[in-house]
Amino acid sequence: MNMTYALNEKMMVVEDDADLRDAISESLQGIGCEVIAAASGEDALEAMRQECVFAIVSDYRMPGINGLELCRRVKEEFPKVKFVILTGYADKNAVLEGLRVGIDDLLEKPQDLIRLRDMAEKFVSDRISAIKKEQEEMRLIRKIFCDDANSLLKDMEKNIVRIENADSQSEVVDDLFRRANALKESASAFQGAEKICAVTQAYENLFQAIRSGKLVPSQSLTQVLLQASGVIKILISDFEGFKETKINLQPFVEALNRWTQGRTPAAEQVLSLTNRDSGALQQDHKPASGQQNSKSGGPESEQSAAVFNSDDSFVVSNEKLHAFMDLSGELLVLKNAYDATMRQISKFAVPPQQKLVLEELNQSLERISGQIQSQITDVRKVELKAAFQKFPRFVRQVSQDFRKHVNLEMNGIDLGVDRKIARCLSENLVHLLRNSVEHGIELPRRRADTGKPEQGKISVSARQTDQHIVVTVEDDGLGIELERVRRKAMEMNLADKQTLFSMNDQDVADFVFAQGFTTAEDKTGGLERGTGMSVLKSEIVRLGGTVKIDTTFGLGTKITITVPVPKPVLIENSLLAVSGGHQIVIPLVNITKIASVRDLMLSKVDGRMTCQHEGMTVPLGDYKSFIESPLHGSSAEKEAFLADALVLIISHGKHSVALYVDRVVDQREVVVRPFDNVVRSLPGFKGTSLLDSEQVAFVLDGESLLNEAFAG
Amino acid sequence: MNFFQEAIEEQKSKGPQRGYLLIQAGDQKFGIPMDQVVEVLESRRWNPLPVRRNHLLGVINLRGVVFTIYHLASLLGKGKMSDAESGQGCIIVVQDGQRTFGLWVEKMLHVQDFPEDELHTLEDTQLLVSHLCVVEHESILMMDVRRVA
Repeated sequence: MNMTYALNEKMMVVEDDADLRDAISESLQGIGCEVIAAASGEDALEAMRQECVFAIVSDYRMPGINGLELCRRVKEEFPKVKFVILTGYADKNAVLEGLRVGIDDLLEKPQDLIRLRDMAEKFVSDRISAIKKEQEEMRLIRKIFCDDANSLLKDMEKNIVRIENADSQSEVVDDLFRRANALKESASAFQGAEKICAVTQAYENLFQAIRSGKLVPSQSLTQVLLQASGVIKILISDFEGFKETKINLQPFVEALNRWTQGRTPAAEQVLSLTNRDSGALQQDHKPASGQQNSKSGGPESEQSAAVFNSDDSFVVSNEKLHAFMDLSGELLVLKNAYDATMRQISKFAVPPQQKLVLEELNQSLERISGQIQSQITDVRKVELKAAFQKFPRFVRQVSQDFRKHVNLEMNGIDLGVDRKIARCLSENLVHLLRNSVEHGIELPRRRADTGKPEQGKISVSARQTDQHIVVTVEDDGLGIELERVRRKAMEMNLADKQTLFSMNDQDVADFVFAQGFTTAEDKTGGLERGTGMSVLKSEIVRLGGTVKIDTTFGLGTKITITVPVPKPVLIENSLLAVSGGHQIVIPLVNITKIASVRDLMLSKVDGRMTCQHEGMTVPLGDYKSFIESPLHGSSAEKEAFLADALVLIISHGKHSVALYVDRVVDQREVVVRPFDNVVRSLPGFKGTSLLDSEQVAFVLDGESLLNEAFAG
Repeated sequence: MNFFQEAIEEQKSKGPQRGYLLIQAGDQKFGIPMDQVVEVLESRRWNPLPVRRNHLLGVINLRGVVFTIYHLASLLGKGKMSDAESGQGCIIVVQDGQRTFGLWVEKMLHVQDFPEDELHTLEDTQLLVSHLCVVEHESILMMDVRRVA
């Protein structure tokens, strides 16, 4: 007869004495779950692999494996299973010794059998609560994943329609590949998302084929990509709603794979598969969440910029927000122009009362423009907690897959960061966490053998400095064997033998960020481990950040990600200077020292003027000399430096140059506008800035200037 | 038939017309489509680019919008960048979709309508000019602003 229980998992009684086994089983009837029995430790372990058991009540003394050994083995394989030992008085001390292997409780036979029932009922109710909590957590995590995935797909669709005119090496294709990879990696963390994984894997392979030039974009391919995106959306919607997608995806995935292999079936053939299988479904599928207000889900569906969300909040499109930011930048330009005019006016005789009014107006304008900047920055912020919410579950899942014991610690996750950064970290830190669990943390027994606690530790920490957000992911695992990295780098022709062995450890470790680099011997689960780290690095670099790796073989690995805090509009506190008849703006952040020419010790090295700065010989010249005659090329620098003129030491990384300017005009906050789509870029400069109603200054980019200067 | 009706009839008899702003670059006349001309700035200075770039003179701030100025004759292979140092000439502000840019010309002539059937399409799409029109034994080359990049 089929019984229904409150809990769909089982409790197991392990007892070699048949009468006692029956008696205990009988006493546990009606506690809310099915009770099964095993006559020995060996039978119990076998049953554990077949049945879903959440708690075990075991005798201590049994032939073969005793209760203590059984507990140790069960906890190693199924750490969450509750384990209670029943023992006679004589064995109690021995078992107390064994509590350290993880026994949850100890009961004495036969007097504690009534207590056993109370305990079992509590186990059942605790388990039901835990499952409910897990389900709730899962629902939330699924929702975050689905929101992220839908947003990724929406961004991808915008680029898919541009793919036909894009070069295989273009940013468009690269971006699509990266996003498809991020989508697949995120999905792989979820049980039940196998269908999404299968389609996204095929989807990623398509972009990889386009990227490598094997597949040439065409109208048909664009259609197929958009249709695949539509299918993934359906799968995501079902996944969020805990619904089983009742379509056979095999033919669709196979058709996508044929495209990847260059055996391109007629697009209609693929499309007909999706139309046949998902077409009917499409009618039943309403948009997954409020952010999807489209019927077609295509890029053209962005009809309204703001969606009414609830009584006191709106969803505002990024475009609107950016427009608002630009306007706030314009306000700052006006404020600066007003400031400059005020200074001009103050040279004339203005009645004191009017002067006071003007000054007050100026102060108000300054205060309001400052507040607007700060408010906009806050609007774009989200707490890292929300972005990192999926990590514990992810680590738990991967740990189970690889039979490792891992404790994930997260610190500083209350930090509010720009939405773009939060999203990038959320999508890409999963690569690091997977690597830490899969390759870093050792198996429990191996850790114990090397004197480490069986449970490995991964710490994710976030903090903010003045200008940067710093996130570290650190594990106490195996670390990276740099000799193996050197060998692999040589095999991949990333550097020659001599260079590799003259490189320091830090530079060698950096090879793990190279495209396709992996020291793993096998590739499991269809995961391209060689892709994750390079994707992570390029995504972080795209945000203007850096990724650093510190590893000690045997002790663990620490990855430090540093991302600059984005500004709502690019405002730079700068010096306005004149050089060679051009007005140039030099951000203070690039300037490490200002000195007059007469205070410097000048000398000529290899035909080039230099000066001394903090014990180093630094090349001296105006900006043109660094851009048009790099240090390694022929030197045609200006030699007649005016003694009264100023020199600014510009530094970035390991390099510095002494920049000569004719005169410094002013110090001010400037709004940097990127170059228009005609100029696009200029070496050594990052944009323009309006000075007043007519004049435009050019904003120097310290990093780019040094790159130009030290090029070659 | 009054004067107004006569003018309409005359216009009809001419067929569809296209307006161009004519300029002189070296020994050649060029036309810029009037529907893409936003305004003409005379005696206006620009901010020279700090790093030299072929055919680009500098940027200008027009009522808060910053855009780039091309040296049109240099772009068309009919003049040198140094011609612009004279302080003469004018800037024709043109709009091409989302792009706004200026074309510095030494000499602007006048606006003229040309019958569409007299505009001969040039096959070479690499050129900055798309049509040719011959008026009184003189050839005028019509620019395709989209090709300026």
